[in-house]
Amino acid sequence: MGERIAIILAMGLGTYLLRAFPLLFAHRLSLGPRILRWFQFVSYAVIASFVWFGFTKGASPAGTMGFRVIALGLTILVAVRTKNALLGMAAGIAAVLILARVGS
Amino acid sequence: MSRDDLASFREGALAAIPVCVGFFAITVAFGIAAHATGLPAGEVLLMSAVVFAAPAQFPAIELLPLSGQAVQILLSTLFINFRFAVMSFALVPHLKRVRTGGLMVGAQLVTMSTFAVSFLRFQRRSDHDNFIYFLGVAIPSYACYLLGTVVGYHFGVRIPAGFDEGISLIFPAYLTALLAAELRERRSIVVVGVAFLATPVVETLVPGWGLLLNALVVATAAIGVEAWWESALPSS
Repeated sequence: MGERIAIILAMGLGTYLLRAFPLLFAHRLSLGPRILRWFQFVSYAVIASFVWFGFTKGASPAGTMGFRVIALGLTILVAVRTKNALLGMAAGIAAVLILARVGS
Repeated sequence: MSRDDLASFREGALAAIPVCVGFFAITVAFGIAAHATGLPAGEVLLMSAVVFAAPAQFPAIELLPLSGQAVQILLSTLFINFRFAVMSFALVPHLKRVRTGGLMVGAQLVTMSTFAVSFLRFQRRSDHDNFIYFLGVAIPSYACYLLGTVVGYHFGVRIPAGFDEGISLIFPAYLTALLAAELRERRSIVVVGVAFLATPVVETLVPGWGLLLNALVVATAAIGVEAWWESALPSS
């Protein structure tokens, strides 16, 4: 039991250091505009990749994937038209729930 | 906390509602899985509290009951969570005025979700209240994360059939909607589109690294193209 707790605490410490080091020390570096721009692009790309994983995880290619693609399209459409992210999300989720029910 | 701070915190907390729902659903599943491995409740909750990163926690609960797995667990945790270092770097320009103590506390709350919601808001409006907004997103999310772990472990609540599909899509749909509603700059839109389409390719080539490696490659390529484009333009 003591060994498991030590492992869990070490997991937490390692993860914390990954999170904290840049926040605590990166301000000492003078980051040029090109580096800041790169971080901006990295952030957008990470979010886009995360969306891809979120939308494809657990979906079968022939079944729910089609519903999810429609939901993704509807989410973008509603969010762009209304400029409201919550409304866009609600439209996408409602679409996938309805399509899954109709399709089953 | 001033009235302005409270408003910023509330704005963050409202933006965190989809994150909370997503976190709750994920950690209920984590709690159920952890209970099945026979780990005590205190250790499971401790892991959620100190690691606060489900992708690293799921493999760890499989290995923890076995002996002699410490190195493997720790290395996989560091590799899986390396993305947090990149995210923290990206937050640095927006949290310049925050004191060291605040940053030390806030650092524990950086996750993919809390980062994404905060970062997209900072792109739209970066202000003196950035850190309060971040805490508004992160603290309720953290609470939902811990609550989901407890509920999953002790009550084994399962999501009703038919709703799991919708719940699993809440956070990806929210991020998609945030990007669609907020993103205006054409080059950033191209980066988002290319990164989205390239993810399955990179994930196939280097399984398990699709998210981070893809982002680094796409962003570096984008910076290169942007620099080339600007140097190619005739100077006025």
